[in-house]
Formats: sequence, C-alpha cells, structure tokens
Amino acid sequence: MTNSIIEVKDLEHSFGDVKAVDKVSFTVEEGEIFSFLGPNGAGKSTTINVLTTQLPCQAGTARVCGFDVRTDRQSVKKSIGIVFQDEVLDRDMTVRETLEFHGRIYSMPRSVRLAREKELLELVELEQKVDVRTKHLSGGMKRRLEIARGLMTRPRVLFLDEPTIGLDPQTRLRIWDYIKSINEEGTTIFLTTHYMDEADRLSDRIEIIDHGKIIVSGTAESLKNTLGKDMIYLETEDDDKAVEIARAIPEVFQAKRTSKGLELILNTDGSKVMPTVLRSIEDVGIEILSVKMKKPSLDDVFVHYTGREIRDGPAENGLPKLRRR
Amino acid sequence: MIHISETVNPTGKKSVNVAPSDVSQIGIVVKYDFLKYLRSRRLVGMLAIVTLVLLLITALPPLLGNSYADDANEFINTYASFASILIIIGATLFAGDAIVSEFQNRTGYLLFPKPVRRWVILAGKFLASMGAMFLVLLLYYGVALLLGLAITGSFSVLGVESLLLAMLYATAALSVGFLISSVMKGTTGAQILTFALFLFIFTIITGVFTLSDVEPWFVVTYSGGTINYITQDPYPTGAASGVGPGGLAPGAVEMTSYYPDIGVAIAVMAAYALVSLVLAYYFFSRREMSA
Repeated sequence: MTNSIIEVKDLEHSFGDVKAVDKVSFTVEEGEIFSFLGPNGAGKSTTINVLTTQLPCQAGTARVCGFDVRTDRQSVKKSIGIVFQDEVLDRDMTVRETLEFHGRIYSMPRSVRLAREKELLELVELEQKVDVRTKHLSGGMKRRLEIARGLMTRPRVLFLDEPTIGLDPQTRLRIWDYIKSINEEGTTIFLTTHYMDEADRLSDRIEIIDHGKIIVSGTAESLKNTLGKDMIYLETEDDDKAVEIARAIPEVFQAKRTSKGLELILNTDGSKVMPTVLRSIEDVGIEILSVKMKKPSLDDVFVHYTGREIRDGPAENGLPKLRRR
Repeated sequence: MIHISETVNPTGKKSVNVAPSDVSQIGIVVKYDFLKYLRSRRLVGMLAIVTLVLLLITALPPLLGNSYADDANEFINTYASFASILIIIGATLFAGDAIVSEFQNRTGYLLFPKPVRRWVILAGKFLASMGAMFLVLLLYYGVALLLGLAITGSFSVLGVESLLLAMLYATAALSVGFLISSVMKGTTGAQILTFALFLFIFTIITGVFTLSDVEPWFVVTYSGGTINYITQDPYPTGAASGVGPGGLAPGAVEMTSYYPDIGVAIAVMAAYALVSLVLAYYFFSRREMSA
C-alpha cells in the first residue's frame, strides 16, 4: 500500500498574465526521491515555492505530510526542509552561526545540533571556514553551506531546488551520496534539477515539466524505455530524403529530423540494424557524414518529449509539437 | 564514508519537527538581528555619531569662550535638544529597512520557510531595534548626566525624565519606521522616507497647523518636543503669542507657540507606537516573497 507524502491536484499559479504552473497534478510517495525535471522557467521553482508555503496556492490543492499548504502552513513548515535555488544567506553571519541559527530556531538539542553541525561541515568541506562570514565565501562554498543548512534538521521531506548548481563534480558526487544516505534513513526528497545525470542517478521517479505542465512521468528506466532499445543519430547530405528511407525500415520504431540531422529510435538491438540503415541510405546515393549509436538517456527523453535541449530557450521552430500528458 | 548521526530530527521522532515556543523564537531572532547591527557596523556608526555629538556639545562652549550652565537641568537641556535628531537617525538605520530588506535581499527565505510566525519575526526584529536604540540613548544620556554631575555638582532628575520620554519617542519612531518598511518595495526608499518623514514632513505639518492657530497635538514630532521641554523648569505651558518675521512692520504675521502637554504627548507617542506596529504586522503578514 502506498503512502503519499505530497499530493498535488490541479495546482495553478500565475504571475500576472503569465501562467507559471498550469493544472499540475502529481503525488510523491513517502521515502522516495522524486525529481521534477525541466528547463529554466518551466515551473519547477514555482511549484516548490507553493509546496513550501512561500507562495500562495492560487488554485487547486496541495498537501504536504498531510497538511494543506493553504490552511496549515505552520505544520507544513515544521515538516520540511528547503534548499533554495537562489543564494539565501545572511552575509554577516559566519558559517557556524548560519547552521546554529537554523538549529536553534528548530529547537534542536545542543548536543545534537553540535554533532550535526560537525558532521555537515565535514560533508561539505567547510570545517576550515566555520568562523568566516558568508560574504567572504566563494560561490561554491556558499552553495555547500546552504545544502548543509537544509540538511540540519533531517526533515520528513527535504525540498532541493537545483541543489548542486555551481558545484564542482567531486562535491556533487559527495552531495549525491549524502542525499541518498538521508533518503535511506526515511527522508523523502523532492528534487528539482536540470541536470539529467543528477535526476537519472538519484531519482526513484521523475516528472518532466515544461511551460508549467507535466509532460511525462515515470522511473528513469521506464522513461528511457519509451524511446526503444537503441538510438542512432545520423548526419547525411540529404536528411529529408534519408528520414523517409529510414521510416521504411521495419526495425526503426521512429525516425525524425532534428536540428542536427536524423534521430532513429529502434525497437531492437541497434548493432544489428545499423548495417541495414546505412546500406539503405547509401544505396540511393546519399552520402552519410556521421553516425552515432547509443542507449537512450534522460537527455534523449527530454528532447523527445519537449522538442528541445534542456538548456535551450524556447522550442525551436519546426521541431515536433510538445506532447502533453 | 559518510557518517550519519543517529538522531533523525531534533525531536528524536521521525515525524514532525517541534519548534521552540514563540517567546524562545523571539529571543533567537533578537539575538541574531542585534548581531547583524553589530556586524553591519550600523550600531558602531550610530555610537560614533553619538560620541561626536557629545564631543561637540561639551567641547565647543569653552573653546568659544562660553561657560557651562550652573544648573544641572539647564546643562542637560542642551544635550536633550539633540536627542530627537539622534532618534531620527536611529529609526532610519534600525527600522527603515528592517522588513523590506528581507524581501528585497531575499533574506526572508532564511526565516519565512521556518516554523516561525510572522508576528514572532516582527516582534524579534522590533525588540532588537529597540535594544540598539535604547543602548544609544542610554549611552548618550548617561554621559550627559555624568558630565552634568561633574560640572554642576548636582544630578538632573529632569534629565532622567527626558531620557524616559526619549525612549518612548524612539519606540514610536521605530514603529513608524517598521510600518514604512513593511509597505515599501525598496530599502533605500524606505530609509529615505523614514528620515524625511520625521525631519521634514512632520515638521512642515506642525508648522502649517501652528500658523493656523491649531495646536498640532496629534503630530508625533510635536509630542517628541517634550524630550527637550521637560528639562526646563518650570515646564512651559499654554500657547504664547508673538510677532513673526517682519517685527512690527505692516502685514507682520502674529505667530503662536504651542507647548505639548506631557500627558497628551505620552498618549500620542504611545498611540503612534502601537498603531504603527499593528499596521506594520498587518502588511507584513500579508506580504509574500515574489518568485
């Protein structure tokens, strides 16, 4: 039997005429790592801000840990921890005071607070900076401190809004390990990210959001499986004609033009289909400029469902229409 | 290997965190806000201004060949007359941006997501600003009273009464500063408005009403005049008429000087403090962080 710790139904939020979140519905089960994946401006942070009571719930319903975000804000706040996307530090507080303030306001017993401070400062490698004011920290150090602060109280649900932005790869890996560890202890993680590898590695379940709407959801594996077994990327001297030829090959599940050439989704082992594909195109006199084959990744899933790269701006003209759930 | 300590959350339970009592949280907010006044050098700057004012008032008369007043109350009167401007500067520094900065600098994300009620945040910040302001006033009056004792040989009780009125006026000024801060969008605008309101706007209103022969008893800066008048013995009372600029020339304007009644002034300052703070809470509690 599942136990939903977050329940969102038909949530809407607008800034003036701009609808940032448009009838979004989803649930998060207790104990899972749930990822909200989407490009900048997709509606991820707005959703988090509503769920954490930082923005009002304008329409729809949202419950966190069983508490209504509209009517029981204090109980929601008591149950959650947050790491915001933007830098939120008091410039005049030291590293130690930042964690101390957080722990004290949540009434952590002194011994627990001190132990947690030590443990977290070690984790984010700021032990040498405990008495430094946050305004003197580098961007990466500030981010690491904010993550440490969000983890101080080990809440029931920890909201992480783009938690590893600006961090070096080594620190990202350590943060991921720590997120996994606290999740294994029972803390539900609500993660927003536009790093595909982060979502792929950490998430039990992923929802892809774009233009304020949820486009697709599932586990990383199930999402990747929707794109077939293998993918072949081709560049030819006549992509329009080549895509027609590829579509006629039975093992090709889907063939489409992209801004960089052709994308073929296969429903069988790509290494066996590749010769057929290449021969079919070359037989009609089209020169093949480059070939690449790989297993579908979350990047491919994202491009497939949104029609654009995750770091891109608005969807490019001529690309497939977004598929709405 | 990352070590995770045993306790799942502060309460030792795996469910909901328990926040400390509101009073305890107010104490935490006061402590850290006061720390910010120290770290941001606002309090130090204010104390530097106080030191400068004390030095000027004390050192200038003998340098100009004037002697000090013989009477302790008369001696303290000079110092009391500058207390209002110190309070205005203090209200600008400690209250003018107290609320709006949380939104503009997004430091509200430090407190607002935590299980701390808005009134607790407001109360903590207000008490911290009061603490800073009272520290400044106590230092200022403390030095002035000691100087008076040393120079005149007697202690000015009226000086202490002036200090108490100054503390009440400061509370009212801080409340108004918090109200402005809770409705304004920018820190600079909020601070300028706080400063201008007390230095010019209220003064202009007082002047206009006085010229119209209406006592401006409802203006807080008029009530604040008691800080200075209380050190005069006897306390000036009633309305005194005189001839304004132009002397006895044809068309000269007859002006009336009003002196605030102590009881009324205390009531007005208390009302400003209370009403402004309640309104500040009203606006603050309804204000949301923008995305």
